[in-house]
Amino acid sequence: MLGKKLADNIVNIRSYMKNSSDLVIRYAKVCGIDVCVVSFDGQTDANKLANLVYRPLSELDEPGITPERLAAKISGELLIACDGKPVGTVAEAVSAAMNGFCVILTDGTETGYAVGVQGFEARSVTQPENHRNIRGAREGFVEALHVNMSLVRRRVKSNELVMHTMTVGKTSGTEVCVCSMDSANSGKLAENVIKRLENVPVSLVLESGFIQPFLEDKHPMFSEVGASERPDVFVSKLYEGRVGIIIDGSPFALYVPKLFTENFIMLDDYVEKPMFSLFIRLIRWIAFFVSILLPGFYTALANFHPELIPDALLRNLAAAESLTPYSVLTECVILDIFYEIMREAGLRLPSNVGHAVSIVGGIVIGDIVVSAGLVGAPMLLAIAIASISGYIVSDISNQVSFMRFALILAGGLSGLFGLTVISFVFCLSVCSAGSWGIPFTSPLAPFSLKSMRDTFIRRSWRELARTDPDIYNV
Amino acid sequence: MINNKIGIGGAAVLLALSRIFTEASPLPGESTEYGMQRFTAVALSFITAFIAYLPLLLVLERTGGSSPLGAVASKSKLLSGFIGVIFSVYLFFCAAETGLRSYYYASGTVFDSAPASYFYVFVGAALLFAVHCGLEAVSRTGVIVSALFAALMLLIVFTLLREIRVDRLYPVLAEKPERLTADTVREFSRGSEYLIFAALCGNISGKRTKAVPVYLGVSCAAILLMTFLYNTVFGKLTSRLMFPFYTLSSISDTALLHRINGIDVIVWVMAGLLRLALFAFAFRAVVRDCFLSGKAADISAYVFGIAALTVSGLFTAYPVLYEPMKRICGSGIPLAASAMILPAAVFVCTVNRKAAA
Repeated sequence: MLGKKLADNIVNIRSYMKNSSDLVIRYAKVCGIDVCVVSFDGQTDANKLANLVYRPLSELDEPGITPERLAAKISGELLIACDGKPVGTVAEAVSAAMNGFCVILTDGTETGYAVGVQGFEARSVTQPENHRNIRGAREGFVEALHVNMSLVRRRVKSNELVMHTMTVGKTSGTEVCVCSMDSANSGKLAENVIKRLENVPVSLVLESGFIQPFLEDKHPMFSEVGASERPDVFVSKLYEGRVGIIIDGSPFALYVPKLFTENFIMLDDYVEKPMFSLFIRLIRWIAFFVSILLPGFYTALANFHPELIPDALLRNLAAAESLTPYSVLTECVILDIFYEIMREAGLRLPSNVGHAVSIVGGIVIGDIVVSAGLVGAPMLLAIAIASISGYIVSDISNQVSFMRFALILAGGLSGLFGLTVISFVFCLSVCSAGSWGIPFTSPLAPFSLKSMRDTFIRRSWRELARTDPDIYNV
Repeated sequence: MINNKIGIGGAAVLLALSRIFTEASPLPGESTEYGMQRFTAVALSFITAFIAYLPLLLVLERTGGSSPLGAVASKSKLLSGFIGVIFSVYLFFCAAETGLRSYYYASGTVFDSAPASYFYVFVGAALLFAVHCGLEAVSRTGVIVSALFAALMLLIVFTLLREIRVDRLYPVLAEKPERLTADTVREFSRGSEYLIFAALCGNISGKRTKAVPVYLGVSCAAILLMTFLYNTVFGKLTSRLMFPFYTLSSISDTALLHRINGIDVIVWVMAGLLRLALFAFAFRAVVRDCFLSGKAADISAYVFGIAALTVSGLFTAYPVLYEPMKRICGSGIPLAASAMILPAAVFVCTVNRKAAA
């Protein structure tokens, strides 16, 4: 608790912060009473602090005013233009100061007053790096929580949007905002999310990925928590009855629950004609299956079931493979690992160097390994097509890579039979996910004809607008 | 292990897939005969199956949402234990037979030269994973596999349209009735899904009795369509084919894929695994209702799966062990007896309970 003596309070605050260098305490005398302003270096805007706090305090001139009256005047009249809240303890005062407030403590009173003068450096709103689209807003989430909250609020100017802020992480004290649209189902879901967030045991929350595991089931491969960099996508998820979580310091907002079919639905689908949306969604599904199955299928057929390959194609494949020293399985494994190395290198390097790696890896090395007779051209083609197809469903690209590799091994070691058994295992694995009361594979399994209006096909807006979407009715 | 409820649709799809699997993966000596009597036999067997289900469906309302075996167990442990033993033995045999069907199918199509032990290790691992994932995951996978089956069926029908010779069909009553009876009994005895439904109906949410007519209708339609294709495409050659449906997919020439027996293999290997998992879940339900509870019942499903596949492996190595069991179960008597004993026991127990109340 804060005491009546200002000097004691200052000592307590300094001791609480272990004399941290970025703690800034400015002393002043206002109407003859000792006052101090506590803030943290770099968390406040100097102009706001000068104009909204120091100047009004210095201009106050009421001789004989009591400390209680002064404190009341500061909080009730003088600084009314600012975001403010009373603080009663040292911890509250320090927490507020860390969040960009300055805390005004008056000698002779037991409460301080925190004034919002946030002004830390932040990245401006730019186009999202990952979830790009052709038509639509070019705004993406940034690291600052309040900017992100405003991006959401600007899109839903309705009292139905409810935002609840809380702190997660004992050490980091990361601010988190739980957003939901006011409906029966999402209300319960939001309560559930808040409960889970309150029990997050991680001390340091630096990114949305730190709390994501506590919102999902213990599924080894797939996550029922979605992440988006786009406020428009985030808002559309809220509108469907989901609950969103914005985390301070992360440009990725989370939402729950996420369904498997959402990996194949993009914002652009809703601005195109339904016919083209259907076409492009089918292409995405085909790309997904090609990406995970093609190399494994090729290895299985070439190793064990050449009779399943059309004759003309078989002759070409046999001619190409007969020139290489390794088995089909070895070739496929080497190429797939090589591709994963290139992908990882391309991701971690600066973008201009990353392009160079792609060119050297993809064109130069790819061409040389074929012309040197180390791998067959058809195998390289299969891996290249599978890899490119994997980028279409970028949200699950890690899962796709893992499944592709496992299926290559299964197909190469035990043919179509092994490929089928491992596919069955993956299928079961996907189907067993779903921790928010909705199966992850909805609306495909369990099948819902009604939800097909926006799964493979996308009905026209005239028809979609007739009923409000509800995630609990998929 | 996750213990979840499944919907009526999911249950019907799983049961239908399980029933059609036995049609697509015949055992040696079970070859499909060319002849119009098979249409009648299939239709009659499904009507008989529906009649066999009727007593169970009628007494299901008396169990108040729980499983029939559970209702019996709450009244008489001795009676439920007796029925539980019968069901367990029968389920075990059916699971071992499913393993055998899967093995013969795989070795007769794409797994020809590989050792049987390799097959059973692969299938065993997948089965244990399926049991671990739970009934709900298996049900959802069943929906996906059934969609694949439907796509396969459509592809076969469209690509073989020009091969279908309707002149190979002749009046249904033109044949002697002796074979009709034998065929009907054989088709009826293949419907061991009765046990699965009876054991697992406590896990089906909603109006669970609806699942039976849907499953019977879908299975009957699919098997009749398959029979139609065998008769009109292969004619008298049908009886010489070990796996006629696989052969149908082999000769289906699609522009892109050349032939689609790869999809056929995927469908039936997965369907075999689903059927095995269903038997394991049914066994677990029987054990839970009649003998053990909690974790022990869950573990019993894993043990059941491993044991059934081990016995299946023994059947593969020593077919002579399988023959007596096959004769007993192929007669349809155990199935018919199960279809009478369980509803009768439920009826007796619930009548007594009402009287006591």
